[in-house]
Amino acid sequence: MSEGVLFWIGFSVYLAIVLLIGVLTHIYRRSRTLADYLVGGKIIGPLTTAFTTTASIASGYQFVGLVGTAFLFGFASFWFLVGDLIGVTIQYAVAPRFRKFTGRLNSITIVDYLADRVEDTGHVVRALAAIIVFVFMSTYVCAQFTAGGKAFVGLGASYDLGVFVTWLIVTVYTLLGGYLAVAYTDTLQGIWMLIGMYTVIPLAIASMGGWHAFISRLAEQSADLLSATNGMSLEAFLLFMGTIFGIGVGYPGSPHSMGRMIGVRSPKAAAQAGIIAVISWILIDTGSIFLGLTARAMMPTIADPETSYMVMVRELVPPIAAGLMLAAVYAAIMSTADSQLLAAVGALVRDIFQRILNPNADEKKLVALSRILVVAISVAGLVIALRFSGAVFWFILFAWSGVACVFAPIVVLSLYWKRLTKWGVVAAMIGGSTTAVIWHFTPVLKEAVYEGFPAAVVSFLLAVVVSLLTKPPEKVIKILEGVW
Amino acid sequence: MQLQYLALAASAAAHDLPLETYLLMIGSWTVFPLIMVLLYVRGVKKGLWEDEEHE
Repeated sequence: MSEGVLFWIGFSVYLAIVLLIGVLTHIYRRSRTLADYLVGGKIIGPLTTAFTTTASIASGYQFVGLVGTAFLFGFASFWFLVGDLIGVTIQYAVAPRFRKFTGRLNSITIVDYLADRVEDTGHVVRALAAIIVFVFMSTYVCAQFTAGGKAFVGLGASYDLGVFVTWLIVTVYTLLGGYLAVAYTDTLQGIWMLIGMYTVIPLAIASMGGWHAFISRLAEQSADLLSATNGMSLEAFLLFMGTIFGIGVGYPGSPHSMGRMIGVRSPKAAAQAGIIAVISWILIDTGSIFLGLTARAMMPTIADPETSYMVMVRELVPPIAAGLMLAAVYAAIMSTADSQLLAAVGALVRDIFQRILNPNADEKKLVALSRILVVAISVAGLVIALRFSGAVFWFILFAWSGVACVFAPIVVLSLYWKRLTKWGVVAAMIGGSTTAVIWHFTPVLKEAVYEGFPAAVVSFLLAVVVSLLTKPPEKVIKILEGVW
Repeated sequence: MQLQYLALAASAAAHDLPLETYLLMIGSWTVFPLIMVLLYVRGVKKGLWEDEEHE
């Protein structure tokens, strides 16, 4: 059997396992209510919560972007790990409280929670936030399909086939199993990413003659590769840290990630998940960085550093195992796409349809509608990824800075400051998002620091100032009595 | 397996890398898990979640 066939057998075995999880979840853990479908009935344990949250954020970037960054900047790339860990630590520090509040308010999406928390009787917060979440999450799904297509090109197959396979697998298991299938497959995909990374790294280091030879090769190329600052000036380093912090600050506001904190079975389980999540992030980011470092030492003249993982797997691992290892890249893409797909569906079904248009809708109909929308949104994503992928770029650009970084201060304030009002939230969403866009398109500002940081600051300030000027949500403050 | 690998890499790195790089790596691997463990222990000691299991 040819090497190519063996490779694709290995790759297909992984995809079949992911599909099987979706089918088994549908058979044995069928969703009967909207809460079952969107947040798994709020019964998910700490291990699965930690891995699904990590995998939902750790996209193809882990095997492409961060690997390429480590290739270029060396050990200084560990600051990206610090940035991610700041974000994850803040996210899980507030997670038990967030789970308490969402439990008391019966929320099943982040928008649902924010709207109820600020007594949004006119649905201003709900409609605005749901539209923002839907637009950015659905276009982000499309971007993941595009990434799947590009990953296939890297494996020697066609872009269109890659987009189609990504679409098919993500749609089928999300359609069948809802959040439970997403959480279980994410756990497998997170573990698979780690197996892929930590199989290749020791092989790469051994092939160079061990740790000392690996470090010597890097030092011969440039001493800056071993430095914690990569030779940056103090001013450049401080601006770099501003960007790192700007990225990290968005974690508690990421809709597809914070949704996991609603699905966890208890506040205590959320706190336990935090310990596991921090460790899993350390392992995943460290793996990405060492992949880039070993690639730099092994093949410093590689044409595109972002393809380092793919090239190293092909060189170091037998074909059938290479298929399984490269499926890890795909795992990262699919585990992000499924979470964003479900977040987009939740915004439409729970926040717009059930809470605004039809509060008495039957649970079975809501689950059916969710499944229809999973297919509809993913088909739209498929068509866009195949024909108009450039059109989604603008939205993706602001999915983190304009949504996560803007929502993060609102979520944190909602948990610790009773006085937060719906007009404070509206002002924060509009002001923060606008700041992100203006900052991004003003060259002198963009060069200084990542737009997510000023967007978060403006969102925070507007939320506080406008809330102080408007009437506090008295009824909700009473409902939440005892959990503050 | 991965944790063992991290430990090995850390001890080997101590001999080859500048001190600040070593501190950056070891610091990021230890400080944040420690914060999460301390937050958890604090929550358990204060009984923050006693009435909230399976809400």
